[in-house]
Amino acid sequence: MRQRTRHGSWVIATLVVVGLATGGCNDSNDGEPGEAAATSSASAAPGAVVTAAAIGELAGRLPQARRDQLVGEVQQVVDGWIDAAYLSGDYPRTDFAGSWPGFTARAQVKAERDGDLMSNRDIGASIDGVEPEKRQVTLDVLSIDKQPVGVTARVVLRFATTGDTVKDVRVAGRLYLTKGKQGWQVFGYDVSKAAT
Amino acid sequence: MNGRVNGGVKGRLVRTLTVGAVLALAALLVPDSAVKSTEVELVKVNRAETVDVSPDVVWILAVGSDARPGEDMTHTRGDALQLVGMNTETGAATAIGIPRDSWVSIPGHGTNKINAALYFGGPQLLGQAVGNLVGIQPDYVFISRFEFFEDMIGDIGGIDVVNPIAFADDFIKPKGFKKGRLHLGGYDALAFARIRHDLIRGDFDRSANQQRVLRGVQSTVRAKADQPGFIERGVFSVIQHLHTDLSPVELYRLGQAMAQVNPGKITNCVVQGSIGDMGGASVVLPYVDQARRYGDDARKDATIKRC
Repeated sequence: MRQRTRHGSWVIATLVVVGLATGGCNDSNDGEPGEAAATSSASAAPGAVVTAAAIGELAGRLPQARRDQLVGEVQQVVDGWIDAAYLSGDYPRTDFAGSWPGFTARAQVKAERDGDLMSNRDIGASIDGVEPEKRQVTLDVLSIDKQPVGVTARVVLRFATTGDTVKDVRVAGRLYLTKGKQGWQVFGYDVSKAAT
Repeated sequence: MNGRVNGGVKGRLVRTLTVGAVLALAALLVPDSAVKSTEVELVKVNRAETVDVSPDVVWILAVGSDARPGEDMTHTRGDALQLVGMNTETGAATAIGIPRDSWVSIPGHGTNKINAALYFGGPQLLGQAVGNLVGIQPDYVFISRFEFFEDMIGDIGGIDVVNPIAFADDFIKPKGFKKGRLHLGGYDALAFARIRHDLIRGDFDRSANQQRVLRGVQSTVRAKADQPGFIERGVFSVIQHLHTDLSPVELYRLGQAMAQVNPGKITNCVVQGSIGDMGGASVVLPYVDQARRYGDDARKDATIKRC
């Protein structure tokens, strides 16, 4: 697992800290979706945090109906990862196998290698539970001949942990997806995980 | 597909892109600082990245064509030859510069300047000739035309290069390029990569300048790589300008893979040689052993330990 910081990391981290210190939930630093196409999980319980999903930047032409369909398809993949890797399961939890259901086989191997970041493997054994605070995915789309062929899914996930390790965690970054025989799959990622 | 050692591969498919795609796709590079903050007690930030592209090390032959308007770019003479390796596992990348006048064996066409392979047999044959010299067969061959290269540099707002020595060209750049850090627009970037007559070591120095331009492209876009839609727009632009047998999905994956290259893990070398005369034409007699050493060194990890 590679660990590193970037110039922007402190900005992000500071914003997280400030947001927590003031009790605020202003998400302006996470960026605004370009075109509204929000969807949410139909089965979400009242008060549950659902994923806000939308098209961000679009290169090429894509009919509106196809955009909505795309948002739903990619959101399903992203939600599958978020739930399996971070939010679902019985905590304390040490088994994170299968946390990347929408990833290609090779990407799964690499995500498992990066399991402390790409899942809650680093803290799973020392927490009792996870309370989601924010789920957001914004899609930057490459469309050729009115068909989406590549997507960068910009993901923001925030959750709080309970138990021996109490912290607020922010997972943010990009998932890269293309569509194959098995539907949309994540073939790469650039993800950071910050905890306060 | 994989970069392979000579002689052991049958049926390998060399992909061809007839546009300045290498540079355009190289413009998708992501910054990566190896500096680790010492103030982790406040906030700990970890980051992980990867791209699933098979194989882990991808080899691309980047060709700058001297085709004039109306000419078939895939059957002219390559003016610039850079064999670029990219390790999607580690983020390392390397460029091996090949002097265009290198006198080599061209399969089925005797012995000639290496860039004549493009004229004789198109991208496949040029890829084979370069592969035979270095010992690594490229997975892809990208061919660019001058005009597109200029436009691409302009689109990204120009590039910065560090020029080790002042040089000029009476026709292409009469005022020349000063020594030191320079900001180059589209035309100047192309001129910087093309001029050789005023360079002390001619084609060798020019090849090194081409590598400086590649690095400059990378540096310029580092800050832009995180912009939403940057990669999508870049790949879309490339697709609009190219003729290729790659699917858009393949191209998108390749572009994202290139975005993972770590600027701190890039190594560049130029194959050296002696100057010879063949039928009145000045040629480069490349140091084949050196070329093979570069290939052997970089084949598995896209890193050359020393030039």
